[in-house]
Amino acid sequence: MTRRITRREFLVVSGATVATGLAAACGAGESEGPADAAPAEAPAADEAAMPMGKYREAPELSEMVQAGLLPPVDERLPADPWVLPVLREIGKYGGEMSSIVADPTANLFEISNARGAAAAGRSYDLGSIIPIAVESFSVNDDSTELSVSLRAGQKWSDGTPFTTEHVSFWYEDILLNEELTPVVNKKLAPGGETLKLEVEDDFNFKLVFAVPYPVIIDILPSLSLWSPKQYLSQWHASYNEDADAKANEENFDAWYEAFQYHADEGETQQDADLPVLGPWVFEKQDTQGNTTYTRNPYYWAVDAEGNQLPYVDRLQKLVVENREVLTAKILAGEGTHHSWFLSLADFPLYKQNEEAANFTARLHPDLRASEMGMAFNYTHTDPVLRKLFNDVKWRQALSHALDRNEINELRFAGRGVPRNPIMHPGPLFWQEGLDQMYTAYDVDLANSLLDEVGLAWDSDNKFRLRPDGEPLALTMEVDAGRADLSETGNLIKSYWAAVGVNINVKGQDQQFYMQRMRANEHDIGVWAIGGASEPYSRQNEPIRYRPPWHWSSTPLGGPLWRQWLDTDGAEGMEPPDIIKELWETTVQWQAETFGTDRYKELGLKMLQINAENVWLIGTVGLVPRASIIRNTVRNAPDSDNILSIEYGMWTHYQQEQWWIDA
Amino acid sequence: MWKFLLQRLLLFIPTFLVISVITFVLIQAPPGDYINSYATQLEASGEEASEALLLALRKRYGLDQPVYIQYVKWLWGIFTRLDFGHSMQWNRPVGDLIWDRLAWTVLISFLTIIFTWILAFPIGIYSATHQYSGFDYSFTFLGFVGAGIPDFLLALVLMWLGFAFFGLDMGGLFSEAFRDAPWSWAKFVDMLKHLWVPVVVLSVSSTAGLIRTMRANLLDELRKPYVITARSKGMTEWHLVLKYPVRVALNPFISSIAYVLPQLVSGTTIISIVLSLPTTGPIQIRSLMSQDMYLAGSIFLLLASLTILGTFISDILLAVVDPRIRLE
Repeated sequence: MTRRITRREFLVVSGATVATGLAAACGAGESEGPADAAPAEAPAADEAAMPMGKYREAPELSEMVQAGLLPPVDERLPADPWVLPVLREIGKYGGEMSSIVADPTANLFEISNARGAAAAGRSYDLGSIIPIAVESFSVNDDSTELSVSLRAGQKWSDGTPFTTEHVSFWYEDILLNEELTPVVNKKLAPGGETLKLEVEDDFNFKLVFAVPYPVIIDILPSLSLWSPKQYLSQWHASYNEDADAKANEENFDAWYEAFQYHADEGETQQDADLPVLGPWVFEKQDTQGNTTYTRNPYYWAVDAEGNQLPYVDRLQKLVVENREVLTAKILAGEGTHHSWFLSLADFPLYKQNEEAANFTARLHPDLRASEMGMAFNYTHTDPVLRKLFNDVKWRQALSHALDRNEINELRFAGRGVPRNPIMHPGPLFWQEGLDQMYTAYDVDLANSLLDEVGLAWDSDNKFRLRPDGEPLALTMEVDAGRADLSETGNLIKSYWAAVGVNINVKGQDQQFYMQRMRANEHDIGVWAIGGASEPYSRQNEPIRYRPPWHWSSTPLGGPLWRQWLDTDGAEGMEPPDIIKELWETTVQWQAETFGTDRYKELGLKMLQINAENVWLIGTVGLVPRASIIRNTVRNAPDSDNILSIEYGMWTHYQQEQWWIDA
Repeated sequence: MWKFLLQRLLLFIPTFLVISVITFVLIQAPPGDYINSYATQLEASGEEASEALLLALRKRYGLDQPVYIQYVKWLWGIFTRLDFGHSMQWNRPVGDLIWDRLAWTVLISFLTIIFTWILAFPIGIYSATHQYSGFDYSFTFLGFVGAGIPDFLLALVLMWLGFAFFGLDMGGLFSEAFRDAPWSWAKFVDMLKHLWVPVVVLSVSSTAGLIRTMRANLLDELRKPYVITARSKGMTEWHLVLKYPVRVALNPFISSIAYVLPQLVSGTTIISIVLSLPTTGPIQIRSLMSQDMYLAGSIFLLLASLTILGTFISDILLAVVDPRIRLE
């Protein structure tokens, strides 16, 4: 039997950190829609000239309506639009938001994430997952089916009604097309079998999975299950016999290249005619990468008083070539909001310029588990080193040998938390102190542990020898493009030298270093440790809690273990029992429904095994993230709002409700 | 003369081909390819980049083929359709990206050369004719200081001065108000306000060199008997100096086009990144880092061609100015 979960119920079953504010934060319910009340209000004097319907719209759009270029707003909106609860206040239309990026093709989260329209998103408090571009979704009891209902009357930015036809197009002609999707994303192929689509009618469809797949809810915020067929089919070989010829005309070798060019909705989008569902539509990008977006006249969301969103007319992404120019421009007051390219080290500078540039600089909680983390290569080709690395006392000793407080003071102005990379406090299965295990700075303890491991000192009493009597010398390779990692690496070198462990820190080209790790040729794997949070581990993979403690393309420790696990023992190196147990735990945790007792139990076990075994040694984590928001920008998040890439930065802070108080 | 030109022109072709081969091979030399850097990006955004996906992408972009096939395809596209390939990083034809930037690079380099000449020419003549005078020493001193200052440092200092004392927003070539605006007189003036910084910065070091060359060459000429003869015949000093010795001493100015061009092009790269200018420099560095090879290859190829062209022009000019070269 399929149980239908309404949005409100879903919040409860999802069991997230439900607070009283939650109902307000995501009360997009159909029944209490304050939109009904809106028309009752007397129209403001300056709006009297407008024909008043149920909803109101931006002045630039009413002009277009009057000129006959657009249908009236009531016809553009679905019968039952998404009603966003008031954040702080009802906004005014107009103005522009802009942000500066120091790399033209990099994702500028400040702007890009404002434009998304995934099936689902997170509530404003990040605690739960709510429908966004669809009316509702639900999973059946054994999590093998996801049922989705679309909003009747919701339209693409070109005015075409949004129906299951666009879902079928995405499924049949993109996902199942081998030219366009040579390899189906693992997330869409639970149990190794691509999910199936069952269309019920124009507005209802189901995704069916080969195995129970509760994680589908967690990944919905990153999925769009549709594509604008009305526009893109002209480049598709299944709809246009001359698609290849059309592609050749446009200087592409094959139809699918042209198709992908026109379908690109990301940072490199070029086609301004591509219909979208999000609040803003791509307008143009120049050859420097400066990009502008304008409001989507068909955006299907309104505020609590029935004003069509978004409030802000235009978005702009401005490109500069380096961070110094970026900083100078921000300090001169350019751009409305920034965070991704800011640096904590410059925070005092931001504060100094607050008044002159009319912005406010804030620090927000971030969830990054550790700014730098190290794993030894547990499948090292040298049997002596391999045995040493696999001795838990060796890892505990080197963790105790780190003066994390000093790293925190020197590198992060004391703003971070000295810890090992074991999640952030706050997931449903958190246990106090897990991140602090073996992190106390204790040189004597470290030395005695290393003595126990059997590492004698050399004749000069300077460094230790390997168990086989050879000098112990390890190389720590770091991505040469990351100066911060080399700096911290050199601090670590000095801490470890104090307990007789000799390492050499070597900057390496990122791609070359990754190749060496994949080839199992490195001693110590070093990387910045993001992606350890609960939402990230859930949506993607618990990459920080099992071999190789990162994605397989950047295996920090034990690439051969992972190979063995991935191929059921056909290739690679057999891991010890504890690793097999850990692997099994993570797999079961992924397969468990969010929030159940078993989910918490498995999650905690996953963390405990990692904390006790210190396979990944961390330095300083939970370093706050800086933001700068111009004072005229209203409804923007405050310093108690988490700002973290693990939650997609600004994604869930409803930028369509931000407005400019000119 | 015609034979000379034809020779030069024919040399153009093999030089171009050799450069294109070297460029293509060098870009492919470091480990990994664009797909690797793409995979890193994917993973940063939380998508697993599986081996199967990477293989499929390599096939898609033709990166699984041997280097020489990729090279021939690329060159064929350029010669037959003027198609420089597709930039994987930008998802755009390379041609769309580079022409604007190339134009800015050429403009800035050209203005720099002119500015250098305007400075170096009179100062060089003055220093030579007033050897060991107070001004000669001061110019020499300033020249050496100019040659000694790293240009990126000068750019940073100028940018800071502009920001701190004049509230000028120095990055880029236009202020915020004009970036999007169509061309107008006001926009042109706004551009000039920004353009002088890179031009001055880039001129500083090469000016010093040219002053020294001009001074030394002119000094040699001034001591020659024909100058004394002319002077004894009562020719006015300025008329004399400008009409004969300066013309001879001009040679290095013209041949400098050939060697100043490549210097400028590499100089502009750093300066453009520091000052955030829309030239080929920043895009070139970025494409190299992400191994977006068709973009990187095309930029190198075009810059190299421009340099060859510059050499060619300076050869012709030299031949025009100096009959001795024509005859050899």
